[in-house]
Amino acid sequence: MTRVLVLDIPSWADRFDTEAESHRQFDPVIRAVENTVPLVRVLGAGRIAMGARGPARYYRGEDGAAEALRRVHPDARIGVADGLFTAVLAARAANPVLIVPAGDSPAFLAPLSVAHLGDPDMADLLRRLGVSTLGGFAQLDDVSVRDRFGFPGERLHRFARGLDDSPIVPRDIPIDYAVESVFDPAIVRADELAFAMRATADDFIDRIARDRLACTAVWVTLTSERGERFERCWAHPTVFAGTDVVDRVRWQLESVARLTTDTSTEGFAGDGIVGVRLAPDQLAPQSRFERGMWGAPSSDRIHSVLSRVQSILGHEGVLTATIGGGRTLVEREIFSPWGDKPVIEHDAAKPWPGRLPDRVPTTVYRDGTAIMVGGTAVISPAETLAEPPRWLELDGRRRDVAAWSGPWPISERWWDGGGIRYRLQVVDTTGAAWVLLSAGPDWTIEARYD
Amino acid sequence: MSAAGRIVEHMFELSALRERIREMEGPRVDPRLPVHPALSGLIGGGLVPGGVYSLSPSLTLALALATEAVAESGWCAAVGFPNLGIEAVAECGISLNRFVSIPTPKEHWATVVGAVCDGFTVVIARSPASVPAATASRIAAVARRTGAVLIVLGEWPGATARLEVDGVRNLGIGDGHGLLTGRDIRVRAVTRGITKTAVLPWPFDREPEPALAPVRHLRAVT
Repeated sequence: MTRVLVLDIPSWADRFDTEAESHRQFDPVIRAVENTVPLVRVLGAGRIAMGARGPARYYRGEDGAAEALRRVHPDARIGVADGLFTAVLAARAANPVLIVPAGDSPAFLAPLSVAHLGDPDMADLLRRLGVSTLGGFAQLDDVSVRDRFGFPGERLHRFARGLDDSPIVPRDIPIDYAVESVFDPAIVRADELAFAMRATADDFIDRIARDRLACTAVWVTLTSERGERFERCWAHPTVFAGTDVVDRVRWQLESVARLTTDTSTEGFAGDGIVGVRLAPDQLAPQSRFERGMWGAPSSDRIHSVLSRVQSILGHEGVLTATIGGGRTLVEREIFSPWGDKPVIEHDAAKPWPGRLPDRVPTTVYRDGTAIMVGGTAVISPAETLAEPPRWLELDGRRRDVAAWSGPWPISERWWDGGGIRYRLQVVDTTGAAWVLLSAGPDWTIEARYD
Repeated sequence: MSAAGRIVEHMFELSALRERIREMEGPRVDPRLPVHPALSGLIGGGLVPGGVYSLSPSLTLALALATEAVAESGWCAAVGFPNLGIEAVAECGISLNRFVSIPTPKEHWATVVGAVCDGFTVVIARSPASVPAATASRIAAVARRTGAVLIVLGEWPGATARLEVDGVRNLGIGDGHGLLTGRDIRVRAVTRGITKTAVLPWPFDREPEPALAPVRHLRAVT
């Protein structure tokens, strides 16, 4: 039976807003482990498995290896057992280290719930048969398990009996596809860097392509003259080509330069790049994409067009949009650069009291443009206007009011003390229709029907 | 692997390709793209692939022209509209999965519009104050080659048709009461010197109010 060591950081994913972020933040932990043990398998964000034999030999025993790996992260828990399944459960039960001796798996597993099989349907079925522990499941006759539950059931049955022999396949990301370029003298300008990286990026993608793999996400690490490292993972809607990688390198340098000049006088500004490392984050068989592209040639075309536009305007120059939750129109709009996954914080489907009803305006003012409302457009305690609005003034041009309606309260974030805002609909004599928001005694334009 | 190699490897896909070529060689259908019924009479029944439509600055009118052409498939891009309301785009029936916004193309306006015309079905663009005739004809040539429909908010030398908003009636809102429930937008179109008018109802699935409807009756009689 293979001895397996699992490192688990409990509720790792809950520490981050997005799944992508949790993976990104986990990468340094993976690296730290890989410094000690070369072949690891990432089971998910927060959990890594590896063969225990090598580390045990190096650290003189499994407990020595467990102690060494525990130091990778303060919250890390280590489980060592026969087979992956038992080792994962051992890590979950560890505080902070639990070593299940060889041959003891059945005894360790026996009292645990069938829920740990990770198959809710199967667990449900077993409970209805009166089997609630892995020990109970293990006692069932293996021939009848196979007859009744088929191959998947037979596999889980082996797990419950402590006979999991799934191989520890090393980390999905073969480290040897990574390439590193070193520059001397250092490169400061993004376009120079892009030029210098062109051949390297092509080689990087070609080597991956030779193995009939396609790269869909890539890590770019920039190292500055002062030794600072700037790392980012870039995803691609389809498959990276060499030029796409070059664009990402350039965007990253631009965003790093912007970030550091904005926040401090020191930092990155003027500091050159001495090293660029490219490493695939996700690889997939090429065949999957060949078929996809064949079926939808136009989206491939769209992608190449938009990549070209992004190479002119920058990554943030091309946006895709989705609708999220919120009460004002601006809050509900979610933009993300082409190629990035949108981050939706609020669910659009939930009720958002105070939001504009359907049939929303075509022009939305995102910058809180101020507008003067003539008459005394002050909200009285009775939530009415003290006087009807008579005119609007925008950019020095006065428009007489033809019709109006409101004000409607938008209560939001009262727990933050955000207070109540009001919304007013106004039609001017040219026929233009406006939606205004109160900001204290003043008004801003939320939107316009044009 | 080369494209040719890929074809050899996937013979079944080659037959799919033959099928597609047969389809493309089939009897020619009307190449015009569908448009909102209220506007179809103004522009000869539909949008001409490769055509350039110059509009007065109304995003509602632009969306009314664009929506049906990309409702089923095809991609739509908006260039130069930092204030375009995304929810309005989705609400009129354009899938946000096939929509991109390039809000601030800045000085690269002409390059960007030219680029997206090479791949997108419909491109809605706000033109700068004046478009040099040479730039306009260069972009129009790309659109003609690719069959993209270019909808420009602003002047455009040599446009296929020019549409402008001639007046709006706002419905449902009164003097301190009600809520805007609809708008009847009177649109005037000039194609090859001939002027026509029609009423575009907003929301697009609403029937126009009868008071402004005679324009439609007139068109029906002729």
